[in-house]
Formats: sequence, C-alpha cells, structure tokens
Amino acid sequence: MSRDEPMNDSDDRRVTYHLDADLLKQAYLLHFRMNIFRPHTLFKLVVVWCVGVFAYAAILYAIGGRWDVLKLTLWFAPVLAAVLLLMPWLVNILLSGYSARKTFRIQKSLHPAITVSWDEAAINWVSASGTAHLPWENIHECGENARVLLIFETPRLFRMVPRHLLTPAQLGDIHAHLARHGIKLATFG
Amino acid sequence: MAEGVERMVRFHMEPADLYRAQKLNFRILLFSRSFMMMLARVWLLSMLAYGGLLYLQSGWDEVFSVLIWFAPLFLVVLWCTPWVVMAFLSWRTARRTTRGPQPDPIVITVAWDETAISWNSTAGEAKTRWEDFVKAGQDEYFILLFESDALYRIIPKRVLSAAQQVDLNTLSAGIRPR
Repeated sequence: MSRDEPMNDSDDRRVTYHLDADLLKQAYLLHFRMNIFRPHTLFKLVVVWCVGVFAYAAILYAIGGRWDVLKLTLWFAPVLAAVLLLMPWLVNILLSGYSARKTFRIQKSLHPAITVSWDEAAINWVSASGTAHLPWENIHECGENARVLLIFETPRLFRMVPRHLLTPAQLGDIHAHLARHGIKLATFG
Repeated sequence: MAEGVERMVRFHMEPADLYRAQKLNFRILLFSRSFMMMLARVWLLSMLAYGGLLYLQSGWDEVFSVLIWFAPLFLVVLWCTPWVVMAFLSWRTARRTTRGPQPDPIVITVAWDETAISWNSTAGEAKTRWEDFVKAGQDEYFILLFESDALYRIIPKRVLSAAQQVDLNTLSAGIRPR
C-alpha cells in the first residue's frame, strides 16, 4: 500500500506497544522542543532577562561601595541572556532521562501493553489501566520526532503514539486525518 | 466496606473546577518536601555565587554586611514567587475556561471499592489501584489523587456525602509520597 492510499482495514489501523522510560524521555524532549520555540516562551525569557538585569543593577546601586554599576551590568546582561537561553536546554537534556525513569517507575498505569487504534472519527488508546477515546476534532495540536508522535488534548496533556513502530502507510494515514481536521503538526528531527 | 455507603458518584466538571483543582495541585506541590529542598538548594547556591561575587569585588567585610540582609530577603522572594505565579496562573486558567461558548459537559462516573477506583466517561475510562497512587491531597472543594507527580485525577467534594468522604479518606490514607 502506498503512503497516500487510504486505509480501511481496522487491523491496519492498530498498533500495540509497551511504553518504556526511553520512549517517555523522547516524549519529554519533544514536548520541550515544541514549547521552547513558541513566541510566548521567548517573550517570557525576555521579561525574565529584563527583570534580572534591572534587579542586578538596582542591588549593586543600593549596596553602594566601589561598584561600577554600569560596567558590571553591561557584563552581567549578556551572561544572564546566555544562561537563560542555555539553561532550559541543559536542564532538559540532563534531567529528562531522570524524570522519565522516575515517572515510568512510579506511574503504574504506563506499564501494561497499550493498543492505539484509529478510525475516521477518533483515535483510541486501550490498556489494562484504562481507555481513552479522542475524536480527531478534539485534538489541540500534535508534534513528532523520529521515535514518537505526541497528540495533545490540551496544551499540557498529551498522549503518545510510538512513531517508529508505525508503517509508512499507518503514519501517512494518521497524518492525513490530522490534516483533514486542520490540526497543527510540528515535526522535529 | 463502609456500611451503607454507595461507592459511586456522577458529576460533570464546572468551569471553576479546573482552576480550583490547579490551585490545590500547586499548593500540594509548594508544601512538598522535594519542592522545599529545591528552594533551599537554589537559595544556598545563589548565596554562594553572590557572596563569591561580592568577595571578589570588595572582600569579606562587604560579603557579611550585604548578605546579612540580602539572604533573608532573597529567601522571602524565592518563597513568595511561586505563590504569585500560582495566583496568576489560576486567574488565567479561570479566564480561559470561562471565556467563550462552553462545550456540553461530559458526565463522569467515579466508582471505587477496597482495591481500586475508576473514572468513566464518554472520553474513556481509567482504573487505578489504591497502592498505585503516589500522593493525595484535598481542600474544601476537591480530593486529588496523583498517579505521578504531574498526573492527577479529581473528585469534587460537592458530589460526595459525608460518609463517602470518610470512606475515600480511609481508603486513600495509605497513600504515601514516593
């Protein structure tokens, strides 16, 4: 079957997998990358930078003594900008593995095998811990990298589809459903 | 089983529920040991960094005279900032959830027994054993049961009888933070 050919057999529209900490880490990394490039995230960083530089200058000025406030502030401003830009990446790269392992260890509902299936109306997740039924039109947005496709119900709540386990035809079918419903899909790597 | 207690309730979420639940979630987080430890680490590292900077510029006398007022001030700022953020986020959530046309409410059924509790609605079903929850918290509006640090499930107290609340408190009493 070609990638663009519509799928009709419900067996083709189904994949069963076991989640693991590594897949969860990939989901966290993708979630982070989707958020860090948003205009409002950059706006927040700029606001924090302005407040930080102002507070630093104000503290130096308040302390008095032999401080050269302008010189130190001009030195501090780019340092703080670099820290603010790099820190989220560093924290995410260093801690996403730990966070994923911890979440996977304590959240028992992630352990049973999960079956993802979809049809014209909705996408469904079924496991021994429960089920989720999400009509395509209720999807907020999506993001994907080489390993995982994230489907967001809200800006914070996402469900996972193991992209690397999907055949090209299955992936094309899901993409077609997302496109048909005008759902934004951000692709990374 | 508690004598005569019906272990099932039905409800639908109201617009204010989401931000109230989010507020409670924040409060549970802000009083958690891990969060306090993180604040303490940030405070200590900041004081060391700032003290080092002062020492390089002016020597020990400056370090002590500045840190003696800056250290407690920074601690207060560190402690208060998350509360300000919480108030702002709760307000923003409330504004977003009550703005525009409201979708038809989904009826949610919560049922429980000695071993597990489940949530059912047209959006799906979730069943969790009591021992699989990692923490629990409550205020005058809600009981929150956490499957992980980030994922919590909601039971509004307005739909619970006094006996049902006692029953749920008894069953969730064994939940310990992990």
